[in-house]
Amino acid sequence: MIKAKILEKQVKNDYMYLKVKMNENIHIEPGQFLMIKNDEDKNMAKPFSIMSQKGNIIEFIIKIIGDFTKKLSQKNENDHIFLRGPYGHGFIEKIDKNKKYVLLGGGCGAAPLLHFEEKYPNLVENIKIGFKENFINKIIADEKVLIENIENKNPVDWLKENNFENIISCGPKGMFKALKTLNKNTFVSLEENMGCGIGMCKGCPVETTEGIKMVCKDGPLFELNEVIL
Amino acid sequence: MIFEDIKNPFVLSSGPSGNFEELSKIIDLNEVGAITTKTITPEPKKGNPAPRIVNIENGLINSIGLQNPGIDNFIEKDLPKIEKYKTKKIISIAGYSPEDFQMMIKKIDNYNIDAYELNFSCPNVKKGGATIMQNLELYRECLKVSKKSTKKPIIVKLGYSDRILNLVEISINEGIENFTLINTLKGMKFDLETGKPILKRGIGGVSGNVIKPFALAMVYTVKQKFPQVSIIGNGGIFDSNDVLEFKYAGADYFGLGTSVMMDPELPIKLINNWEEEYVL
Repeated sequence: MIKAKILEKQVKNDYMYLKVKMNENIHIEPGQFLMIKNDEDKNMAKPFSIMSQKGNIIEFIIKIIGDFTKKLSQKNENDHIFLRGPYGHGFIEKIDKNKKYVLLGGGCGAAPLLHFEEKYPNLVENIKIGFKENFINKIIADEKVLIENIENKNPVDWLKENNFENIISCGPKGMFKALKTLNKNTFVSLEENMGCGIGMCKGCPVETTEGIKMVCKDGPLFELNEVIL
Repeated sequence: MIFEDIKNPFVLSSGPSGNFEELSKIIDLNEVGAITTKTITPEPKKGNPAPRIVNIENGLINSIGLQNPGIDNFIEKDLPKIEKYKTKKIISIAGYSPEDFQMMIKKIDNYNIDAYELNFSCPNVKKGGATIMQNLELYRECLKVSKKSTKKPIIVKLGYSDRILNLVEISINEGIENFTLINTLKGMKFDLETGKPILKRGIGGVSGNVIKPFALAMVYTVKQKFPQVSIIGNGGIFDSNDVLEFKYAGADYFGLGTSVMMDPELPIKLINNWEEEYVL
């Protein structure tokens, strides 16, 4: 396991920003994820993607929704967390590198889109991430963010107003269903409860046109057309 | 004893490690005493819908539903790789009838494998698994037919049960004296916001360190009554102290399941630690 020290933590409402320093320098491709443990104990790990990497310093935005994230949010700066990975395929392995993509996010699941933009700015045509409320002040640049409660529209509505063809999306299933009706060249990064994170336990299935696949090992990025939502 | 010449008493339990394709890239499986395949059924099973996993304090609940390629695809695609590992190879099988067990054992018996584990305790399927236990004659018949079908050791995997001694005795009477104790226990977790179960299937199987006391009680109960049997103690082993407790309870071998999902490198760390602290 990689030990990582919390350098900075911000919590606002149900959201948390974390910046940590890993004691090893591993390379994480945008789209890959890490399995995180709060402590060196007998609890299971949970998967998270990062929003930024600079050497051994990585950043997360995480929604506080369950016991695990609540415990994580109670950690203090200089405390440690424990990581293994990275796992899954980077987005770059699956997409056409000769095209430019619009990155469309919903909530904290959009972290890997920010990471993708950081690493591959030339492959990004535009980026829009929807949040219900405005907690991400200064963490994510204003022009990338769409506050749904203020602007009265979500990222899919925004997409409909613009003429883009190639999409990479991270967010809730409802968003993917809406995207499916638009018939564009769309890739989606799926989230699922995971066990091991490496494909062996069969805990994170996704039904596809080619049968059951595992989100952790075969994804997390899939073509929207192959996913049965 | 199940195996005369096993390297060490640690066994990868059926399920969490899959069929070792991924794990073998992370650790050297040849260093583990024995490995158990994911349970194989006569026909392919696509498993249960997601969510299949939810974490709880010191454990998790799963409802994978015995997803597996079926015996024929297993033999064709997975077995050639599994045969190459220089460790004891236990094939876990589950069926609906004595004929199912017989058919699977006959198909696989001549390959380079060392033992069978009959899974009579999966809580996550509608037919087979734990449901066979509702009919003790059927259970007895499955054991009898399996025993007749092979000269290799057979291990019976049982779940937590008030009638554990009865189930063990039936097996002993059929000439099978090896047991894996225990499987997962039925459990649930609810989403407090929606009021619905988090697992799509509602009820799943609880595993992890949280079930250790229940597993210890089963191992202890069986070993006290039938000291001659061999037991793979299974349920919540994460460190050397857990291993020691299972040893005191009467386990001969130590199964590693959920702990491998938490940390795939754990088997090797644990084996080294155990040997340093308690063997050498």
